[in-house]
Amino acid sequence: MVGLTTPPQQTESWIVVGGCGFLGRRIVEMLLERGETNVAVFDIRKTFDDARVQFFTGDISNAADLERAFEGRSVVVHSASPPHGLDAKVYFAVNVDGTRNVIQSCKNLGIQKLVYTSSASVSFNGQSLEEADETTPYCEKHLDAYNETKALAEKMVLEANSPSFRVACLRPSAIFGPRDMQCIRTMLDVARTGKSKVQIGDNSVIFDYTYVDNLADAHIIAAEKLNDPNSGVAGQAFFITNDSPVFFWDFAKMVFDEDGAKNTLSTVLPTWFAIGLAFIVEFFVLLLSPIKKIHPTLTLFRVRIITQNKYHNIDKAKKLLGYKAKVSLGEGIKRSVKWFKEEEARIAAANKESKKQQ
Amino acid sequence: MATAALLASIGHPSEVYALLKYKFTTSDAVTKYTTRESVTAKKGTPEYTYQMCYYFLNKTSRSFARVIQELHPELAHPRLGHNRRRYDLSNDRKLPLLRTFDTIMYKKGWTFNENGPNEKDRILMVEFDVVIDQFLRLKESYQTVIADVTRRMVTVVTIADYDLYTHYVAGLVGIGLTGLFSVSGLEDASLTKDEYLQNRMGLFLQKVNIMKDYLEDLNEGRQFWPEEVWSKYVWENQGLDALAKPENLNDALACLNELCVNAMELAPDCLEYMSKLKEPSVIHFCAIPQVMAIASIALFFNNSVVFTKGGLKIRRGLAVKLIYEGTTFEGVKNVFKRYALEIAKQNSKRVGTNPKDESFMPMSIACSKVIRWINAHDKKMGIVPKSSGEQVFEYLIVAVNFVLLALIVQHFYNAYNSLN
Repeated sequence: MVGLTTPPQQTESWIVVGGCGFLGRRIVEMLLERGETNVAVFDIRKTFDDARVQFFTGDISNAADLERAFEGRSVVVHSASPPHGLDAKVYFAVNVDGTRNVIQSCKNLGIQKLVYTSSASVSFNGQSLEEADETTPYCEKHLDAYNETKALAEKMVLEANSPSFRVACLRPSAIFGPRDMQCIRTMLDVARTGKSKVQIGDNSVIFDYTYVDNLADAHIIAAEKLNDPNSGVAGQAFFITNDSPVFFWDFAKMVFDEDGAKNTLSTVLPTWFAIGLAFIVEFFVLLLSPIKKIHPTLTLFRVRIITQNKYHNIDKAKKLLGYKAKVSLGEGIKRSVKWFKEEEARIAAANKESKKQQ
Repeated sequence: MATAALLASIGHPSEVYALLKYKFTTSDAVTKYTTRESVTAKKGTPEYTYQMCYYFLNKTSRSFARVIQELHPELAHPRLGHNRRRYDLSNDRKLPLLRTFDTIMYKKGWTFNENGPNEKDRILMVEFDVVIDQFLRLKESYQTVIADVTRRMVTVVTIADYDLYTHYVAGLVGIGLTGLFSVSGLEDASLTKDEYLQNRMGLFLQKVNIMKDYLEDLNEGRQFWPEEVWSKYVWENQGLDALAKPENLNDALACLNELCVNAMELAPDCLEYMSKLKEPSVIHFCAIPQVMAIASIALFFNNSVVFTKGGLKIRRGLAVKLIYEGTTFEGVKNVFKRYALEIAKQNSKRVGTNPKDESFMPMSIACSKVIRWINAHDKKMGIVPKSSGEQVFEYLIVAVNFVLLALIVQHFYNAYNSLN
């Protein structure tokens, strides 16, 4: 299993903020897998149970809640963040105010290490990115409130770095894995509603993805590296990916295939055609907007995003963190789709069982 | 040129053009020494040794002769001393011979008569004294490089498994040639420093050859496919020959595709090496086999003919077209890009057709690495891609805007007219 290669540091007392979420839960599980005995979770809701974990339910915007949970911890991993597509207010409350509270609580309690889950989108505002490394500046204007608040939070965390409070920020690009309700879930829904036939462009565009276990692993090794003041990790941000950028549509193709869909992406729309179509769609959406609000799948923004390269150079993480993506992209996709299938089978069986009992 | 080659390319007009151009523009003094009768110089003269060496080269490796004549005259000549092939002798006799080969090169008058009468290279060995004569006539610096590489090829034989012989040899040829390029002054001395890239150039070619020759090698009792790979696709007590059985086709293709990925992973390093070359004839010399190799991968990939019939070769018309494209580094880059995308396309088309095959994602990653190398190189050189998505995007928005605007204007104009 990933994470077992580094020996556990049982002297460490871990708390994972957002530990009930998709990524946070994997970090917790992997800490347990490698034999950590002192692991706690702080989250707004409790989504699973484990006797080895101490759970704290509370609100990240309430400093008192945080301090109660942080008491006696030696390292904080902050990976709480709302999903895409919510109101801007939510992002400011959780990502900006919440992160400020996390930093302050750490300082109040004398906790010396913080690893923050940032996002690769802090330096992405729709432009093409090729081999982008950490010298790429933050966007002056962000695409949306999610990206803007992630960047604000990252800057706050990095500025708080000092010899007695060492921090690191990780910037993943397109996280996927079991329990992922955005990337894989969306693709499976697309495949199962028969929308997996159309491909836009000639599939020469290259994208970066990150399997959740690799990212969880990166958090754990980053926290360890913060122990060593000479590691050069403190006060730094790192792009984290699977280190294997790949053709955009091939990722989806494999997800579809693992799910059993055949002849996917068989209709190829040229980029210019898709742009023209999206333009016409948006034109009519705009025309109809006084009468009816429509949210089309095909938008100019989406076409633009998927017809441009977006991949990173993660040499800094490899060099300073010693990071290596242990689970390959293909293996990650297999594991993810398998999990969803098994989960669905479990749910189906449970439904059947409850019907029988009635 | 065979009419068959023209017919094979009939559906590909650019290849027909290339074939005709090749036919009417190539006039090479060196390729004329293809038969013993064509060697006209008197025995014992320098001209005789020269002609005989080209004759041997044509005899043992026709394609190599074609490539060598692309070289700058300064280099084409020394390269003749550097011939090398697998000799179908027993190992007992061959190994000691090969081990001392670097000293033999300096023994005037040395010949070897023990090859079987049917071996293609027999004539070369019987009259090897001619090659030595030519070798000793080369500049001393060239002699040193050739002898060094000859010695190292031989060292590998004694340590490594005989299976690996050709595998290592190809890499060393790359290293040896690089040495020649730089002592000739045609390329920077710095080129020789990076043996890693030089070796990868050779490996790329050799790995493609090894894939191609699966059946031929099998029939002649040779095995060059790495056991580490093929053993995954056959039962425990089976050998590499199991892959040739029709009932094992899925395993065979999965194995072949894994080898294609393995070869394709070398492509970015080959581009890196060739991007460092300056002299046009050296670029062309290096590029010809490379562009053929990547085109061959596109041909072999997931292709059952490798196991059923063998002898897969790219169309002659395509080969000639590639030779022309490989004249400049820009051309080589375009060929690599085209084939990386072509292989990626084939790759995604066959998804879900073979349950044994795990190579989809690795191949996609390998092909995207070629594109990434090219993107990075273009950026470094300040080359802006001609039609990036972004440019097309903005151009089209403007165009569509105008069309819509025109429609709206026309609509209001009509409405206005009908009001009056």
